[in-house]
Amino acid sequence: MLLNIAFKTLISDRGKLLAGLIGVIFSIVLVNIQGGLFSGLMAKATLLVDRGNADIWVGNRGMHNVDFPHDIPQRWIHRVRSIPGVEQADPIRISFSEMMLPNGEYESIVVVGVEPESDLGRSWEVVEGPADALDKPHAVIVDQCDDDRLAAPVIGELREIGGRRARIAGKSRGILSFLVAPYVFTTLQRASEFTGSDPNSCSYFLVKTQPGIHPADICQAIQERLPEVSALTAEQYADRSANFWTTRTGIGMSFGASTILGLLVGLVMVGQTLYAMVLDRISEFATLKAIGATEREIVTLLTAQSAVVATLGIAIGIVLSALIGFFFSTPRASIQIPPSLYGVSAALVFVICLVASGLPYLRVRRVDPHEVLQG
Amino acid sequence: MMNDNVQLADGAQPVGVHPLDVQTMHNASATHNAPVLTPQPDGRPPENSVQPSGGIRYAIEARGVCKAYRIGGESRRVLDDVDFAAEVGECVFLSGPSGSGKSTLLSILGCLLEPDEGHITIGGRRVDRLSVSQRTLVRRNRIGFVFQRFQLIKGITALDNVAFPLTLQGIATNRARHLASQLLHHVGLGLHLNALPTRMSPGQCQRVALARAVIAKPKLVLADEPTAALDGKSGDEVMELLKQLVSSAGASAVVVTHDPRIHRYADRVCKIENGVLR
Repeated sequence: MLLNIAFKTLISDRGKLLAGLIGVIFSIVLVNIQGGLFSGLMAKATLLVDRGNADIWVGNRGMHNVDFPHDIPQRWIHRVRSIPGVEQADPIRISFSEMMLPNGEYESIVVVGVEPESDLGRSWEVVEGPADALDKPHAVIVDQCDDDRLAAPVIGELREIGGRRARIAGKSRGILSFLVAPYVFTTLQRASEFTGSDPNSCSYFLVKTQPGIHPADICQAIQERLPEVSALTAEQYADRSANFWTTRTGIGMSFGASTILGLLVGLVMVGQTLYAMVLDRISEFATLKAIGATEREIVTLLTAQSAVVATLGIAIGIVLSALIGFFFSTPRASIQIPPSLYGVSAALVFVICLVASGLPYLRVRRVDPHEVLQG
Repeated sequence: MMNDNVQLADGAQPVGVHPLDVQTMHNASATHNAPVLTPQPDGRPPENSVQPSGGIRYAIEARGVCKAYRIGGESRRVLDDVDFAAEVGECVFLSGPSGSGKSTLLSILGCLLEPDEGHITIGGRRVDRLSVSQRTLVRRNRIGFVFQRFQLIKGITALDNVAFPLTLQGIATNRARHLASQLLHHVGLGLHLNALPTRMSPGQCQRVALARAVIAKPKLVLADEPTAALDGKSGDEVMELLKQLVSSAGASAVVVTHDPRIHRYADRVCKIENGVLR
């Protein structure tokens, strides 16, 4: 019956219920969208690793971010290939350069060069142009989403990268850099030319292990044979790259702060709504106390009301977050809400709503049942 | 499950174990059959609170009750050495002008307020020095309240308003609703079971409040100006019903009023002026 009273009195004041619901929905949507944007941003930071088809990334000792490598000699790759359990190992170059735009301006780019015959490091998929686009002379592949930055290049158009001729041979979609500089994909050899790098060096060795072989064991073997390098599994290097941006740019702090702010706003709105509802019904609480409802039962009633507001708000908020993620996520501003985030945000907001019910209780606690006889 | 943590000193059956016998109420006379007591010359009750047979004589008894409020930094005594008692089955009216202390006395009798001095006995058990939670349970299990402004819970139906005190005593909601439904039919609100208080007339609301007060068969019903918000006809109907329900439940009633038109429903009228019972 207490729960019935809690629910009925809540829905009998729809205006305040709506205000409370908006608070919860706001919190849930803010937490999920902020988290989804952060997750999407971090996914861009590790895109080359996640889609590189490699089990292990081998780079200079202390490598910390996939976009900022330090050159290593290509000749070391033979030592990697000779390690038992290694199925394939190929070099990849990731270096900065500049593309000259038709209007004479320059745009900074990140050139990604891979071996023409290797599937390692091919993080892109050609969606415009021939599938073997890189086999063409001077060929480069750019991303459709970078069209505005690269002045809308068209297939077959000639450009200049690092003072060398480059032809737009194909386009990918959604392979965007965390940095402002767009990725330009080409062969290893052309990448060296575009970036003016030593053709005998590269940025990383990408390693594929044989089936059944644990990549961590191969990493250890690589480091024993090549003490000058770091060898990390793809998951480890993705985490390290994401961590680089999170900690060194303060982006994690920024997203975290706005998420906490959202939670606080939700807390205040729910608390204030319940408080306002209690103020309107203070004589009813006095009556409940007068006819024998204990403090515990009053707390149960208020907690139940909070729980109802929280549950309804969380359910609506999650649906709304999913819809926003579905309709408004773009490759540039990707909203990737992990399922676990829905659970965490729901639990957080639910707890916050229960805490918020403490605010009206502080008022109800002071209600003297004697007041009911004083009109 | 009975929720009665308060030890009943007189060994009485806890309220709520036996649901209200509506059939008995149907058969009950509308007039109160309890013996009419002759008031003492000073309005005070007799000294002896226990009947010669050994049973409890007074449903409620207050002796030497004093109460003062601090107003503007000064202590103002609103009750001054008040002795009061209502015998089992008796309907006593407390009458007096505004500010005379009758509502304060009712609050003290109803365990809503603690007296500064004196002691209160309900059903033979002292209740004036109980903790807040113990007093709450005394109110729940032994006292029914009728308020001037009905004080119904606006968001729930008449049925649930009446059933609520039973559920507080641990009776299952379905059973409580069944009993409440029977009682509401009895008070003439059978067609308004699912009506919200906001959709009912003042007279109907007060009948719901009466039903709520007696549903758990309390031994004492305290009413604060039960007809003040009603017109004359509705007031008479409510008082008839109050007497009938209290009588059927075997309870006593203390009614605060300053409406002399309803004094005819009292077994005894006590006048209170400036905090002193006359």
